[in-house]
Amino acid sequence: MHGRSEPEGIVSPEEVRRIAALIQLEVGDDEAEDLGRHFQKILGYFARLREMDLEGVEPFTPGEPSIALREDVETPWEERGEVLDRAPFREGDFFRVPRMERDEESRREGEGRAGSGEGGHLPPGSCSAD
Amino acid sequence: MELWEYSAWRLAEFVAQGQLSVSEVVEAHLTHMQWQEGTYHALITPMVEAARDRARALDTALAGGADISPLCGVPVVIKDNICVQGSPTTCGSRMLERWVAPYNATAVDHLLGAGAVVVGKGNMDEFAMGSSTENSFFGPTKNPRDPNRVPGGSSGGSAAAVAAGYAPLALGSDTGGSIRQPAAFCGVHGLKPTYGMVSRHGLVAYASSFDQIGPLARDVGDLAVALEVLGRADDRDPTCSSRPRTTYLNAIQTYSLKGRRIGMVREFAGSAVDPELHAAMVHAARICQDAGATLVDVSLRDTIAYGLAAYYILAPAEASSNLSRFDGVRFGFCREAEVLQEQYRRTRGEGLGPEVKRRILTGTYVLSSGYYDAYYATAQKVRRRVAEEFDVAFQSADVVLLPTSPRLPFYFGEVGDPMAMYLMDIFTVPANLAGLPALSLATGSGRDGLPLSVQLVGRPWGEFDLLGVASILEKAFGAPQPIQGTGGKYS
Repeated sequence: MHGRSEPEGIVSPEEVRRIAALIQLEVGDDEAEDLGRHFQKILGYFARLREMDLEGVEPFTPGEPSIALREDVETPWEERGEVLDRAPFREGDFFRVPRMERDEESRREGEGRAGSGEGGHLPPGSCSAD
Repeated sequence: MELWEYSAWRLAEFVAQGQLSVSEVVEAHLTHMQWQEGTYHALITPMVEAARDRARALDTALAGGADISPLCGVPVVIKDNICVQGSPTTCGSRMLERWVAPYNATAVDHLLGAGAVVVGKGNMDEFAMGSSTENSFFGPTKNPRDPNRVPGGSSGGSAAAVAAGYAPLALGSDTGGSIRQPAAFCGVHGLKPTYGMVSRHGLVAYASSFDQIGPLARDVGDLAVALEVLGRADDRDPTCSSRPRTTYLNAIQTYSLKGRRIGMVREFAGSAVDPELHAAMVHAARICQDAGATLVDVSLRDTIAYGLAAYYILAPAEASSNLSRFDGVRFGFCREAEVLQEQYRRTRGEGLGPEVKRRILTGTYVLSSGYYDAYYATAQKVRRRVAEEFDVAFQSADVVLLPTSPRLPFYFGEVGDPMAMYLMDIFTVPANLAGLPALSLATGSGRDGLPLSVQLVGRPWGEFDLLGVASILEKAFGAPQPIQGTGGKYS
């Protein structure tokens, strides 16, 4: 069932960091060890699902069969400024952020990190609040 | 009898009849709350002055002839992942420590429209991930029934606040049991409505195909009133159903068990349930039978064997997506860095706690290339199997009886292993997997005065049956009372 070749249940700290990089999450060395152990335990628990015969079973999500969609109309929202004020760094009508990592930096610094190239082509600066 | 001992509907009746002012009701609860909060820490943010202002405004409106119902003057506690305009909404996380909500959740608007008064924001496990409230960045809540023990979670603050008499009614959110399990641990009632019953607009999302807002109370009638107030269509939550809702409070007064069928689940072998909680279930079944119901045998074999595993794949997968918004740019905590991606990583690394990291990493793992089919897609199919097993059960039963929790409230630090903590949710996650309504009912106390409970699970939109059965059981078991004071006994 698995598309990868690691022995089942073994999740190394490197593997934990690779996954953490996918969601832009810093993980310390001790944390990575702990998380690796946790993964082994929980993946071992998930393995029970392989006992089931799920041939032909359709995926399920709860709720009404169809979701009622709103009219696609602009709705002015007066608290826009309040939302901007809650940003850690605001500049006029923008959220202020530092420059972005470029492709080559991303590759160099995050060796083995997935999702490289993200944003590399964008100029540094602010992103719009809209 | 003190004012903080009354049910919500009764307090609203006093106010409506002019026997009490809103300020009198609110002040009695605030005094009781302030006296106890140092011991229990049920709240992240007490809202004493805001509650007094609101009480005065309501009294003025009432004096002017305003008709405000059905919760006029009723103090409520709101779980801190539900937005109350102008108040901090922290989700129990450092990430949102200083974040103030710019608008009200729809559920809060409905409560305010009915005349409720928010007296505080309830403590919770960070981003609703946990079963003990030990995962709150702001420190744990103590169980009012025994302060050495956890209040359950994740809505532990809401449950403790109702048990301690801060308010007769609280809002929680339930993704895998987060209303029902703390209700059970604190000796109060809790209702997770059908998926789509209550709008989640203004609820900070954890796992969107599971999350549902619902009430906690010490009186089944209060759950019924709250559901009438909360259960309305809302186009700001596209999953909130537009189907017409029914009324509950009056209907449950005359509910009869004659001809109703109560489903008794066959498979308890291998799932270690505390003998007292098992006995509570058997006791509840006997009461139903004495009142004219028939007990029928139902099977939830795959649900009990595999539901929990499916839940701990699907909910973290959804969480990994939902929590990506906490990036230090738009709101909340930010750890500055020279490069944006570094700022993201540090902000999230420092702003999120260990259990949240565990879950969003698990979620990312099961969604990642090469693993998706083995985990996520498989769990989605297991979810179908769970829903189908309930469909079959509801062909022969109107309500299914389960324990809420396999265990009585445990001591702080007693369950240290995350996987052991997840196993606490084994009987609550099935209702979330299938989108069904489920109610945890307090059924008195067992050894060491610890609260006992049973869980009722109903058909989709079957809240009427749940509340009806619960009201009959409540008459037999007696409604839970709030504790009298610090270290008080369950009565």
